[in-house]
Amino acid sequence: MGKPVRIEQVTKSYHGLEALSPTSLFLEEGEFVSIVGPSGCGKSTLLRIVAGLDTPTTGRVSVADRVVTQPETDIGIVFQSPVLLDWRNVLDNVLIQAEARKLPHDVYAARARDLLAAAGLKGFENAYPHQLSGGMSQRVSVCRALVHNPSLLLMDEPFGALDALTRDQMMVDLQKLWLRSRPTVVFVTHSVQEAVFLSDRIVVMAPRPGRVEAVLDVPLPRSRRLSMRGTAEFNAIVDEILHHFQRMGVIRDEEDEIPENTTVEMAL
Amino acid sequence: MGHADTTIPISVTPVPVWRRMRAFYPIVSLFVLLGMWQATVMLFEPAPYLLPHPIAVANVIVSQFPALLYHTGITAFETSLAFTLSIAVAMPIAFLIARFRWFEETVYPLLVVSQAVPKVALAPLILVWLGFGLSTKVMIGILVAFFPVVISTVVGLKSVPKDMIFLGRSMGLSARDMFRKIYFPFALPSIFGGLKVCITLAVVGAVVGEFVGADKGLGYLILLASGQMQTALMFAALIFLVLIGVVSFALVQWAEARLMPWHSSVRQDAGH
Ligand SMILES: Nc1ncnc2c1ncn2[C@@H]1O[C@H](COP(=O)(O)OP(=O)(O)O)[C@@H](O)[C@H]1O
Ligand SMILES: [Mg+2]
Repeated sequence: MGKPVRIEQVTKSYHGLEALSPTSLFLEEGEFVSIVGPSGCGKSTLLRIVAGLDTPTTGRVSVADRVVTQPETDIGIVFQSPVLLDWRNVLDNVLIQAEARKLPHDVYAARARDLLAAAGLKGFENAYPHQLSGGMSQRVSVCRALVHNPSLLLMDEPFGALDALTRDQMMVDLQKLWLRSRPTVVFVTHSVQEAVFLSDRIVVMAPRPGRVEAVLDVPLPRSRRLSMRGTAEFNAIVDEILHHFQRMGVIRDEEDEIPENTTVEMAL
Repeated sequence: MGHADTTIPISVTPVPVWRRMRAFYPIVSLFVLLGMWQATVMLFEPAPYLLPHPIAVANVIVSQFPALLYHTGITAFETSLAFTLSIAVAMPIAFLIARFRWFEETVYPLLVVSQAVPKVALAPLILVWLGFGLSTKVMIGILVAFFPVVISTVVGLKSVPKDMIFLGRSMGLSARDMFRKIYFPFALPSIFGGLKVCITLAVVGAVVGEFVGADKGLGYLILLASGQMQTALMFAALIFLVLIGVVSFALVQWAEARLMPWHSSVRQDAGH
């Protein structure tokens, strides 16, 4: 089960330049929150600060009422690239989490196999990263982020480098895996549809300086199916987010108007 | 659910038999070279002290085999000592450079500037300091050969991606485990690049050491044969020197393949 995350008046400046202006956000335990916004609005910065991998210039983050002062370890992170260790096979790439935490090998090897199977990687346990496609590698990295059952899952544009079909499948699989253990998730994406499909809440961020523009609820029932993307409720939320981007001047339509059921992805 | 998006075969696709025999191409080029040598001798009939007949060289190799083997053993021993100690010197320096900013800033520039000194020119000085023994050859070998290992190790350690470091920290890896499980294996391909240069330079260093002062080893033998205009013997010694170079290089390559079967420099299916 997830832990609640409290982000309080967090700012970050690099060389005196404000990358993130005061940002506050509260994530309930087990909540799935997406962050969407153009490049350079501080999404990755915010994620690193939550993970304790970077320190905020001012403000603070607490996870389950404990202020983050060093790298969180009850955490799973998925980066845009899979970041697999080339010298380990798939299973050992996942198991490095157990190794690092001195957890019992046998128990976690079974867990890892189970997760890999659920992610469609049965039979690839002994393959090396160079033998995997981009989508498969990213699945391994999602399994690695989940195998130790972390309370917090941070994902920074995890499917950004994948093709559209693979992304759809990953989205469905991620929802399934998340529903198993319900960690608190912060999911950064460029795809509005992805955000709406997966999230309980969506944070829309704006650039220069990075800040929270709006927070939207997604009151769609779970577990969600791909076909849900055709429904009016789904697209109403997509449109609302796109309107925010339009207002920010991030995207501009020819007639300055967003067509119905748009599938525009934020190619930023 | 339950299907991987792309099917990439785990098994290696079959390669034609003649391409799998990796010795094939080098053997061909070796014979072409021998043929050209033979043709040159037959066409221009140079004096034997300028270019001996391949058969004459073969004869020397047979008649002088024990002596050649003895000197080869000496040079090979010096080379392997120089190689091993080069690693022992270079690795810690590289680790410190990659790990500590202040060490990098104080030592690295010095090291780079020192490489501008032609190390071979230092050989007579080393001879004065260390005398005629083994240590002179090994020291010159180290001086010539250790630098590429420093460079390649530093480059390898420093090119660990940021996200990979974040990953390690988020797993709570200790500094020691961070090194063992992430930095070192990541740097290994680069380190081996340096080791391959190092091993060939270690041979050069040993021979230079023997040139400036020795009573044994292939360098000594070459100098001796040169003084007596025994060109065939010189050629024989050179061939054994090449053998040392080739065999030691192959040993490093073998170790590389054993230690990192995952890497593209080792895999059959990579490249071309
Ligand atoms: N290490 C850093 N040093 C200097 N500037 C940085 C650094 N990291 C991020 N920035 C700046 O902070 C801003 C936000 O970056 P980032 O968090 O990566 O945005 P996003 O992930 O939303 O694209 C950008 O303007 C970027 O240039
Ligand atoms: Mg980013």
